[in-house]
Amino acid sequence: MMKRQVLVLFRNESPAALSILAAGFLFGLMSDNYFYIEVMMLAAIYAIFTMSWDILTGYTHELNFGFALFVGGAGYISGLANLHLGLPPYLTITIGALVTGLVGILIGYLTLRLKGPYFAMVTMAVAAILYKTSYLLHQYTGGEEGISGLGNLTPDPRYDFLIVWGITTIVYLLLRGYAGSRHGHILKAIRADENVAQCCGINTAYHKIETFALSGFLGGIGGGLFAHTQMQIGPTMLSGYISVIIVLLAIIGGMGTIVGPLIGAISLHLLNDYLRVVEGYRIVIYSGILILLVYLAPHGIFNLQILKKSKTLSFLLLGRRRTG
Amino acid sequence: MIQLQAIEMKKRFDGLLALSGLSFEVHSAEILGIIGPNGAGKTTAFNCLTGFTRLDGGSVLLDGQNLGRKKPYQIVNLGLSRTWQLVRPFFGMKVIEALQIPTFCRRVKNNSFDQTEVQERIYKVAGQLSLADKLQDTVDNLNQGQLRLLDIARALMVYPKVLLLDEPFSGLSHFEINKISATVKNLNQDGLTVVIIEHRLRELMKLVQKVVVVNFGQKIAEGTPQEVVQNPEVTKAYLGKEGEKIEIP
Repeated sequence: MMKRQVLVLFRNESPAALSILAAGFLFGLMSDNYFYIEVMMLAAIYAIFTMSWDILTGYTHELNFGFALFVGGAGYISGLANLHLGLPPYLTITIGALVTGLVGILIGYLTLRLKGPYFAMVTMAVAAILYKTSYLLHQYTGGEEGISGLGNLTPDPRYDFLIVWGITTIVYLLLRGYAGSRHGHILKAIRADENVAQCCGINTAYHKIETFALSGFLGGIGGGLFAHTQMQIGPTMLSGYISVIIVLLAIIGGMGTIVGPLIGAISLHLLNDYLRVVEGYRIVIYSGILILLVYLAPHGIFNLQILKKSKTLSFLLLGRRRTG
Repeated sequence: MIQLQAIEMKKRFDGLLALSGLSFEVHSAEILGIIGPNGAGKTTAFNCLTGFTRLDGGSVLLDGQNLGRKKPYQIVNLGLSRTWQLVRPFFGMKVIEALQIPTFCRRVKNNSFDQTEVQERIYKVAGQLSLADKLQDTVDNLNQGQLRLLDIARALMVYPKVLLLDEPFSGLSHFEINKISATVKNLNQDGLTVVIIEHRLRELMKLVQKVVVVNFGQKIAEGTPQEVVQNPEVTKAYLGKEGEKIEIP
């Protein structure tokens, strides 16, 4: 019985994403190179960020340019709770994620009627407010330095990695399930025409807020994991830089697929770190590659027409589509 | 039995009085036509009935229930479904996916026994509107007539009590108009109440049992198609002077 349920969960999944996730577990079990493990861990955390960004923006096409609010916000909350209240990481990460989930509800409510650039501007502005606040409250947040000396998940980075990778896998399966369910279909309908979706008897406001909350909650988990695996959190995680990187990685991967942002974030993050062999030119080469990718695949690699047209490729990369 | 009743609907857009006390009622299993010159307030009336525009005064009753402050999706769940003047399908989806969206609403859940029945309803409605062979096509590949049919199919998916059609014939060929007319007639014979706004009077008059003529946000005449076209107020609104008769062949 149990076995069948698990099979159903995986039946429609993308073989490419599943094999990358499985490969990650194998890597975590076999490798004892702490440097590679740290790099892969950060890649996985970025994948959590981009996937939870994608569930909102990829499906409704309203650009959230302030995802740092969730990521950094949850990071700071769990960091402060750990440092000042002495709570264990698994609890502080949950608290941080719940708070950003609630913040997601609030922002979702405030931006209900906003579309396009106005939506993007509000999300950007809210994140900027929190960024500045982290400087103003420097006696608590450490200002420029951020807060460090946070408790780690486990004493061994290898176990940390397995936990982070496990959570990445759960987030991936959860979001794929959500996107493939009626919730995902309704979001696509809202993207196509919100008034008509209402004419179908659907409470579009509720669905947008629900997705915002989910996006905030999962992004918050990512932020909390970042704070505790890096054992520090600084204002960079609240800045526009992190918001833009999340948007870029997800768009290059392919918005609205969840697989795209997962694989895009992991591979581009690894590429970025690999380029450290030519550290002086790293940013130039990396940015150049990003620009090239945007030019070659404006809708993202996983949304390329060649991919979608070929049945085999689209099954291998995106999994079976549940229609018809 | 009166199914849908608009009482003294008033709506003002800044300086423009779009509806100045428009009242009409629709009996169940009736096809009512609403006609009037451009800018008379017909579409505004629809928007007010379906909750997309908030009324400044007056009220709307569906089966005696006041729709006053209800949201559009709540009104749909009470059984008042509509189409739009310009076709607004869910571009980027397959036809079958687009028809699945309405099945997620509460009204469909309450009206169907299980998921198989919901799926069967998609095929049934698609069949009624001759879209059965298009179900696997993407919406973007349909022509104007098929998009109209898809819009009506979407509106029908929610088991409506009353269907509001906003200019269902605009931009269509005679063949397509006849097809939609026949479909609407069939649905009406099964007990569906229909309200149609239309400019193509010749086709409309053949279809409807009663006509309400609107001008400057008010009802200026009401009656059977024959009565309405002989009404001097109506000819004045349409032709600018009294005494001429509109011909319907």
